[in-house]
Amino acid sequence: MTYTSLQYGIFVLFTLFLYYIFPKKARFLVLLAGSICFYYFATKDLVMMALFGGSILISYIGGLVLYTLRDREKGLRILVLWGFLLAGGVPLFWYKADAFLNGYLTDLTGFSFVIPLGLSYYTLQMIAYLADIYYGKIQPQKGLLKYLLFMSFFPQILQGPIPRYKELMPQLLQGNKLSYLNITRGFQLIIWGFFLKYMIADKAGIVVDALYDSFPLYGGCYMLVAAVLYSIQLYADFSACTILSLGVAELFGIHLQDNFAHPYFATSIQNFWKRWHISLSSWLRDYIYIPLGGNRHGVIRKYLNMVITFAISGIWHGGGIKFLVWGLLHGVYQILGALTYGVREAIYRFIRVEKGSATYRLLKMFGTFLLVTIGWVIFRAESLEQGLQVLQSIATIHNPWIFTGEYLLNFGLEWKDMVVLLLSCMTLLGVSIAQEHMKLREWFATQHLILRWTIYFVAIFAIILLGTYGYGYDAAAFLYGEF
Amino acid sequence: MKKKIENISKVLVFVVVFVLLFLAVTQVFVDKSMVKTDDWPTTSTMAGFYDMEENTVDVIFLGSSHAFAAFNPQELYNEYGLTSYNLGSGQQNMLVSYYWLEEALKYQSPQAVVLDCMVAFPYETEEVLNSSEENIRKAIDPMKFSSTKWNAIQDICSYDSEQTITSYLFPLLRYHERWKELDEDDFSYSELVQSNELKGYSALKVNTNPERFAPVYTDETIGEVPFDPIQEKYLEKIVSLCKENGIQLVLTRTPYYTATTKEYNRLVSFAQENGLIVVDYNLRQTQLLIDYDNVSDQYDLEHANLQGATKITDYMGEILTTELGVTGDGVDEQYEVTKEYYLEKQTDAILRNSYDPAEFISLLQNERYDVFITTMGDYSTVLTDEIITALQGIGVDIDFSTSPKAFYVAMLEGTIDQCGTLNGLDETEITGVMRDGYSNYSLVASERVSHIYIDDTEYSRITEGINIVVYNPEERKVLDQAVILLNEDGEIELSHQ
Repeated sequence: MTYTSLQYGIFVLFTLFLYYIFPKKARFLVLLAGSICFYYFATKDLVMMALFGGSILISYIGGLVLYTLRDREKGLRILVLWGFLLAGGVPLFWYKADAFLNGYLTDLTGFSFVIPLGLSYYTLQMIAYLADIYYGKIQPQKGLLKYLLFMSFFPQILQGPIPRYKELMPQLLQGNKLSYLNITRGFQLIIWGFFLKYMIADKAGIVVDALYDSFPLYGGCYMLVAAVLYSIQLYADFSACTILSLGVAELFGIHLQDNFAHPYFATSIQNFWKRWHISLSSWLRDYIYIPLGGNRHGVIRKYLNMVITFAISGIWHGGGIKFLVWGLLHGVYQILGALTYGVREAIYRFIRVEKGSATYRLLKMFGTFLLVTIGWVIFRAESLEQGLQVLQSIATIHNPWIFTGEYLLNFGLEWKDMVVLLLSCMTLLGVSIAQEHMKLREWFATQHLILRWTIYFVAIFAIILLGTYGYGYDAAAFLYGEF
Repeated sequence: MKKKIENISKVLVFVVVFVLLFLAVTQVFVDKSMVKTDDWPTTSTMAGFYDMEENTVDVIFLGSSHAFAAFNPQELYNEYGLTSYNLGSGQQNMLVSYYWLEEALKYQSPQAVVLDCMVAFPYETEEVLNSSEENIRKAIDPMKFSSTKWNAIQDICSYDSEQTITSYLFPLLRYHERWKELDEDDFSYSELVQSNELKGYSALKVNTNPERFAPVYTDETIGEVPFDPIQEKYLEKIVSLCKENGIQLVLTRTPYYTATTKEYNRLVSFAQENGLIVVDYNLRQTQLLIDYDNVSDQYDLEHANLQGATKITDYMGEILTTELGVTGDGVDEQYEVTKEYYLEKQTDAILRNSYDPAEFISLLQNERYDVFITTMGDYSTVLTDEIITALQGIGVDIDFSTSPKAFYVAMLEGTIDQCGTLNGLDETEITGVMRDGYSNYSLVASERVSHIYIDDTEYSRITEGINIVVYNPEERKVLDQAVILLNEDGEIELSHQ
């Protein structure tokens, strides 16, 4: 069962139905039952469920213990915190360490396990919970069932957004009223999620995969196309999954936080990380960067903390040297960005680009996109080595004629598909620009029913007819679900 | 409260509109490459079956395209008074045959079932179900939804992991990619499925079989080959189903070039185990008995043509009536009204197989045909008086005594649309519309070249002589691409594509 399968749709409808029939106070039980069922049907693996359940139980107990010790000395509390963190996070840490050491741990102990679904996400969620109790920001959840729901809430278990206890728990428990507005908004989000996935991500993915799989047969501008399309694909894919999570949660009257704020409109790498995978960035900030000291101990220490934080980000995304390098790259980008800020601003002044003007912003957006795409090339390539080779190929092979001939039509998308992809990307761009300047959803809600419904039907049927799915395509899993 | 009702109604209306649109769009998108045209019918076959009056069909034919090309219900009725229906479909495997039989028995109570067993043996060996997904879909999609269809879908998806239940329930999800290839047929779906006068039989008019192939000789000593295991399972289910319903089952095979004795032996032993009879048209003695010729009676190396089907059907009719005691119910209007249609098909076959230029030309004047003629090069060598008479006989009022260098004719539904002579050097196109404006034609006749375009596709033989294209506007298909030419031996020859 995936977020885009028919079974999931039926499951959601059924759960919705039960949710709104049940009395308000008991509605969270419907969500809990649904979440457990979902986890089972998505994995069909009792070992995974046991591992997941184990981490939940450990962190539940940990929360209560930490709170009990809240007035004791710091040393003890830190010890207890770390104890529970390690115990609860063992599956993730083991898995990451093993991947990094190329399976060494598995060979050493003869022990291996299939990683539980959502491991990377729920482990962070759990760490946040325990840390928040430690810091005194929240009180622990005394009810095991309620805590279980918090950890396993099905719309966000696969790929986030990584929730914070304070924001999520009350919404889960309060039992929401059936609201036409919530249903409509949820519905809109779901359509948008499908659009991003099937009209952009999976389409772009066909060409990206073809080019990366056959590298180095097609170099230079071909790989430039692959790089740019991958930047689009990854964004659309991950954004789609988040949007679908938000949309489904919205149907229950639960408002999750969006994970993206038009990241490719960022004017700097620092700004990028405020717009990309926001729940992860803020988690890294609150539970790695700030505890390390943040920027409170001077510039050198700040840079060091930044590098460590981004190294961890890299490792979280994947166990392997290329992910680590990718993470560090973003850390380095920001350090260099800070160091060269004065020089760059001077250049802008020199070429008479006024700070804050449209030209200024566009130049910075373009530069940021370039830097981010370079990072994504390494991220996407099979290995660090291949990633560097691809970058070298783009820089050294000059074959721009491929854009005007029919060369790009040989990678799985014929011209009709390309047109659909292009129009879809333009739609995304248009919507993104609109959203930066106004509350698009609110404006849309004020439009006449005929216009709104026409857009709904056009969107739905465009996705059904023109989307990339069905017989002949491998059921494309969401990319960020692999982390 | 009012707001609540308003909201609920909005949701309901939205859902209803969506469902209606979804169904309408599905009809347009479902693959119909086997609907229109008597050649290779499948969807129209199944749709037509549901249109038959209940409990009027005496015999049901099942099996692959071999079966639907060989068993002609009209012929069986004309000669033996038996009513039958041909539920054959492309590469039909035993699973599909079984489920269609189960479905058929809800509407009909046949006395006998004739099952073509080609796909019981290993056929498409890379496919789990021994036939391609495309062909399975084309047979299962037109089945009405019921527990039978549900079971069929479940079985198919359990064997073939690439097929999904969801895509069977919502065919639009399977065929949505067809947005790139929709054509006129897709938008006239309801009209197309009404065309099933031949009750599932595919009248292949020509023999284009390139070579003679050997029949099968009986020889018990060389042993057997086994059925495909999954196919055997469903074959046995078919046997059981027939027994439960008191239906006599005949196992058969029609002539094809890779048939072997070992397969025949397996059929015989299976039949003996189950008290059935086998009629294998591949056997030399059977072919001698019905005077079957593997060249002139075959469309290609695997399918009988109209002439061959007549022989095959007649022989089966004899066996059904004399050996199995199958009886008809006298006159059945469903088969009386289609006699004329069948005659038309036979006329098509005569046209298509004619080698007499004058006779051929005289057959061209038919309101079922659009005919286009353009000359190329020095055609005067083939322009005999006979041919001139024939041409003038169908309304071509050209004065051939002036020895024109080139001429063209466009005849639509039996009436001359335009015809005329050219100076042989001029290569301008002569154009016109046909099919009430839905299609167009474009002709070029000159000393250098001949073109006959229908909707921008070339059909002329582009050969020195008189090039003739016959088009069926109702089927939207070209029936014949012929040319009257001077062959290597200096003789006047009518050549068909």
